[in-house]
Amino acid sequence: MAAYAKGLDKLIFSLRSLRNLQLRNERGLSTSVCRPSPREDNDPPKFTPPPKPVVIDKTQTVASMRNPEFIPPRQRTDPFKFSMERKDMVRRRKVLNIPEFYAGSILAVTMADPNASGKMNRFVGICIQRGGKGLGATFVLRNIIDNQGVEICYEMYSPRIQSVEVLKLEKRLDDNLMYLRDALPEYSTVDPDMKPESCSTSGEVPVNKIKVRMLPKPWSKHWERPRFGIQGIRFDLCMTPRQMEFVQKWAQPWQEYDMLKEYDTSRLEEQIFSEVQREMSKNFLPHKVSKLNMRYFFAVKVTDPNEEQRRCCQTRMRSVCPVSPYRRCLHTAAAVIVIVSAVAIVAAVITATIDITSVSYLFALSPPNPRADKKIVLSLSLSERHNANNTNFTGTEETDMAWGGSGGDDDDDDDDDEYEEDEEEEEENHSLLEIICVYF
Amino acid sequence: MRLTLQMLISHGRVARKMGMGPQSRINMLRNILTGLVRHERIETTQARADEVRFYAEKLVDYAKKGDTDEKAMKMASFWLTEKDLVPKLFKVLAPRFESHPNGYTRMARIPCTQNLDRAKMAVLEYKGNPFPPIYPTKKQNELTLINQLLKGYREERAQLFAAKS
Repeated sequence: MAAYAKGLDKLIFSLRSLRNLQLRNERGLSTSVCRPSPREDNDPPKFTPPPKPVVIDKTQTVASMRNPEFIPPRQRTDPFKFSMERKDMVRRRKVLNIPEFYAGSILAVTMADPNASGKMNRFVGICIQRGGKGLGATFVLRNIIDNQGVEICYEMYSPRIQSVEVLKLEKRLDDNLMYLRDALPEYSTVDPDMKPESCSTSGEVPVNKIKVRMLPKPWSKHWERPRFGIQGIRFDLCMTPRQMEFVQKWAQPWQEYDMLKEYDTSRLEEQIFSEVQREMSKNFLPHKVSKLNMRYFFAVKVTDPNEEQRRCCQTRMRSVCPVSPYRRCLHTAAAVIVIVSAVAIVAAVITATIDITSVSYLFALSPPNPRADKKIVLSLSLSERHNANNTNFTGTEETDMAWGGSGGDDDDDDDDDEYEEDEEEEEENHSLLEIICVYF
Repeated sequence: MRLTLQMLISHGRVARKMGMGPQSRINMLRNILTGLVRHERIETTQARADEVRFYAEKLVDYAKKGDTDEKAMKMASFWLTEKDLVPKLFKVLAPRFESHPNGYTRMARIPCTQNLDRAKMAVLEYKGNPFPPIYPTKKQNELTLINQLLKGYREERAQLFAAKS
């Protein structure tokens, strides 16, 4: 032990002297063991105590603080999934400019809304939380409008979002400002007609060290507990020292030393952000993209709940994927093929007797393409009730309703022969055979 | 607290439950880790050895950062309950594993259970310890007939090869 102690002293001293030069550059430390500076002989060298060492414990890099949704969570999923997501995120970012913001910044978001007048709605609020990873990244904006607190959670990569502006860029003492719900309303009110403030000239984002006053208890969560680690509340006004001590009962001091909880993402981040920067610098397009063209015609089952909304906003919505001329040719070729096949199907159906299995086979031939924006709808619903042996598909503008409605109008006399033949088959296929295609 | 199903399902949980709660678990692991750093080879139950293994390797990673690093010193002083082992960690173990990027420990499960409770035991050690190895290498006996014949065969082959070239 004694040997250890001796060796320790010498070693530390030698280490310190070696590290002096290194440290001075990194941390701006000037210890007393440095070369004598040129001074006048009259004044004795003043002893200036060394400044306290600044411990810069950066587990998160700057880039990751700015865009935390790019860093994948600690999971067992294949990294390929995250790289695919990142590609899509970059593509979206090329079209829509998502600026840098933090919890505590004031944002204005305009979103496409079919029910609003002018088809857009704008919301201004303070960002209280940034959550989610990958394409599902969200941020929550809070504001108080007509004495009513409103929080809206926006998905950053949603195609409905038209623009995101930062009116005031700043950080707060915490990452999560959910406690503003229990704070006095003045801290959550943001003027909806606020003008964007100019950002600071230096690269650093200003930190607003405001400490918020709270409404009387009970709060929605126990914000005073150490598990939230909130710095931005004035606890001295709302809680007694005895209460503060009592709350320490829930403290888990061993958690900061638990190495299992640490997730060091520095290397991953370097890789990811270099990749993202490369992608962003490639083919940087201007923000205005051409209007949607009719691109794809094919048979695909539409199960989109936002169908109607999409129809309304079709002309306004920008396409996500830019299309090169080469691709356009391919698309038009594919379109032509599909038109021809559709016409062929229609002809076959009209002339020949309906063979349900053959119809379904023909439809299944054309491959589904998930990236269509405008689509044709053909819906043939064959059911007992509607006797839909008619095949009077005219290929005109879409009809949402099932064809079964118009099928009732037709006479059964013409179709008697066909009907008799197919009766046996129909009994087998009782279920609705719906082949819904995409519509214009 | 909202009792979600996620709380009952333990998908992806890496930390075992030990002792009487998370604090007790950490304290137990601390004690075992201190013992490991002091003796460099210890015998515990298999589950505890498996848990401590991760922490032992992470502790060495921190020790490699050097004792001037504030975080490393805090970690070492927390995990090693006997404070005279802190210099041992930084002066003996860290330099020993400087060339290794990872894998500083070895765990071997033990077959015999001398305990009354028939608990499965394991031995956990830091590599490079002064004790004889857990898996002793069996030396081939050169004086057996087959080994002698093989030796002769190898020598003949070597001679032929030398003669050709």
